[in-house]
Amino acid sequence: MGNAALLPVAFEVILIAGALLVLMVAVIADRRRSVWAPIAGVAYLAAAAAGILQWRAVAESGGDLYFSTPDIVIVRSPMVVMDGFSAFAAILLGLLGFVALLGSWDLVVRLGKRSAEFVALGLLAVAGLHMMAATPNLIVIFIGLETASISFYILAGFIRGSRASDESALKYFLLGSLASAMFLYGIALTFAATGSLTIYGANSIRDFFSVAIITEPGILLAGLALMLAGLFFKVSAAPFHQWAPDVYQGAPSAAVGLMAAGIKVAAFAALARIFIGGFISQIDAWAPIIGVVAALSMVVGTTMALVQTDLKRLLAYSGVAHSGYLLATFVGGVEGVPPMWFYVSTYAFMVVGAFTIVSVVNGPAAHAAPISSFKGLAKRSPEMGWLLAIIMFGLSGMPFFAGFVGKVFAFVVAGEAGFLWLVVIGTLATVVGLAFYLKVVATIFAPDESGEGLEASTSARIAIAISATVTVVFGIVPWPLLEVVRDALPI
Amino acid sequence: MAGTNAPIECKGSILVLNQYYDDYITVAAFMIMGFVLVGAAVMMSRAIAPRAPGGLKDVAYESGIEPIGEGWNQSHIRYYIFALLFLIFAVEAIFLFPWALQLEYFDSIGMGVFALVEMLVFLVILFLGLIYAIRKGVLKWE
Amino acid sequence: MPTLMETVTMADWFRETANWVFLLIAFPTVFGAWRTVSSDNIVRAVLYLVVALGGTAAMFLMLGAAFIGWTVVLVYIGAVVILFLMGIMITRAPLGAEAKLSHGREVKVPAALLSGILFAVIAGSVVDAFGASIIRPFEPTLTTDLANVLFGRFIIPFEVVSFVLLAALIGGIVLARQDDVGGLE
Repeated sequence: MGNAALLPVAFEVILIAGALLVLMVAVIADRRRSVWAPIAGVAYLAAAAAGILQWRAVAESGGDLYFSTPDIVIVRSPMVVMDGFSAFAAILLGLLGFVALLGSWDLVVRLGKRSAEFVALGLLAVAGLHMMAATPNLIVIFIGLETASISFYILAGFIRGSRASDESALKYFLLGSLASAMFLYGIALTFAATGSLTIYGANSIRDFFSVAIITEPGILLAGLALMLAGLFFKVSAAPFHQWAPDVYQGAPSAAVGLMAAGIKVAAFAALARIFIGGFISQIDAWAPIIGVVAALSMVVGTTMALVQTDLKRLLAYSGVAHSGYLLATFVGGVEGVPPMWFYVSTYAFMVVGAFTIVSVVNGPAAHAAPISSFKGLAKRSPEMGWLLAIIMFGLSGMPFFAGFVGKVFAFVVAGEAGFLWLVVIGTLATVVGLAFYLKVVATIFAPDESGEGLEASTSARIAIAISATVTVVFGIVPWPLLEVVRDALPI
Repeated sequence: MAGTNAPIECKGSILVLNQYYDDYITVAAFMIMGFVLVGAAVMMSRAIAPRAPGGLKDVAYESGIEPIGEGWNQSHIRYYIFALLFLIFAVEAIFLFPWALQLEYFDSIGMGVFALVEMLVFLVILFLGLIYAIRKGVLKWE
Repeated sequence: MPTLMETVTMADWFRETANWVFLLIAFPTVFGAWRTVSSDNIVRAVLYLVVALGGTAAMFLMLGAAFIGWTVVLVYIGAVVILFLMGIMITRAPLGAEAKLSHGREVKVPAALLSGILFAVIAGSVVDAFGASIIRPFEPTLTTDLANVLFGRFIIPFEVVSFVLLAALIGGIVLARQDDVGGLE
């Protein structure tokens, strides 16, 4: 087993090694200084680099590479697959983890010796998230989902002795476990219907659909519906979204960025892997469900966001709406995967940037982030004010920002698939949504007498700057990224 | 397969299955015997023992300090981490069982070292977590 | 022969020993599950959960999945229930007869409706798909076969399970450690 054979799992190996190293260094090293945070940063970057190597290996091979070990059976029925899809997810998640770590640096410093656990959980979560994108096996998707979810439950409740943080963790844990259970039950029923757990390879779900004629679709539909419900919950699509505002509110702001963005990237990747990779022949059965949930998410997310007075809750509801736009890409089948990647990768960086600014303005462990606290931000700190304004424009879908490009491509795909009503609802939701994003921007630039200066650490400023750069650059010149995501298809 | 009336594919022989159930019938017989024996002993004492209920005999602890309050007490949270560790390592032990059962076979087909390494990786990841817990004083009893 | 389930009529159904064993296991399992949610006493609810889990384990044994059956006994009855009882004991939750765990009608009715619908959908689709199938004698899953799969094809998921356990271990340390409330707030 040479080095090349380990490449498909290199991302996970690097991150788990990083997490263990963080724990061991924390045992040995000086207790006051968090020397382990740079280790985690290096691990994220190395993992992203492994993703680039995977991307190049896939491009050179002209197709897909399986994870090969001494056992030949593994090659026939792989647990980890290396294709453009998983390689892109690796690069994206590695960079996202790095930026989120920079954004939470203030919290890491303030946590002192407890920060080793914080950092290690982040690494474990990202490893689990990539597992969800890189496997064609439903059970492995579930295990990856659980790794990430358990880490996120704990990150949500990381601030001890705080009722809001406890409530956030408990709510997330109880409802999240229910969603995981539904997803698992969906896998079980799908297995009962198709006799397979793997999307492709030997005895795969694809093979099943290529030969079988379904006479009693009930059990398959129940399985698909339960899997969808579990993943809808994880991406907080309406009507499975009620947990999101409370969880985001109670969790430490510096941790929410990774929680919110990471799970969306991985859950949409898993959704594409399962439904576009495995059940594309059943698209007529599941596309209408996804379309309705998408429309509902856009409407509920947008209308609820209009009345929010707290930026964290507003971002939670805007996340519901964004899940709706992202789901709209799925009705287009495999055509929708590149727009999905473009949308989710730019959105993920915007979310991390937004929550980093929240943690700079209101403190990294604070729960409340009333919009009024951002009054006159442009005066207090012109840098922060402008960057937050850029991210808000990006989220709203203004032209010349990344969110606009993502939405346009999502709507084009949905329209070409014949879901014109979805496009109409999406466009309306976008226009109405402008109202609350612009309200935030107006607050930032409102004159404020009590404007005292705002201190932001270098790392937080870098994280926010990266996020804003992504928003602007891919809004004006989206073609390089569009070129890349065109190859990031599930095999 | 969904919707087909075909018999479900089966490779097994009825003999293997009978052997399997016979083993559990033995277990079930032992269990029933256990219940019968204990039940008989209880019944016997009920039948022949003299009975004089009431008085101090109703107190939870007959000849000591009188109990006050309720039977349930709030325990310290420090116990929780032990219960959680118990659960985690119970799951780990479960995986050890099939591995130990089949290690010889893996060795016979030339995959012994591979099987050993894969279990070691699994154990080391959790062992390092345990070391962290110990060094951070989580398991200290004070 | 306890395994031939050539389901034709009700009378045939009852002629099979396996079906009687099934009923013997199924009724206590359902009863335990019912009492777990309906019991007013939280400690009793946990003990009824043991009954339900024990029934599940017996069901797995009956289906020839011995390893899974004993895993349920060791991990769920052995460890998870202990964790539940510990959880009850360290909280200040009201115990005993005075603890009113039950909710009002406004919670009970929707909850019952929702779980009823879920049950109907799942049971309906399973019966739809497999109701007419005839189960022939099957081979019990040997633990050695399971090992071959687990340490062969499923080696990557097996290693990833250690990630899950490590995350739970760190989580336990984070949430239950007593020494430093310091650090933050």
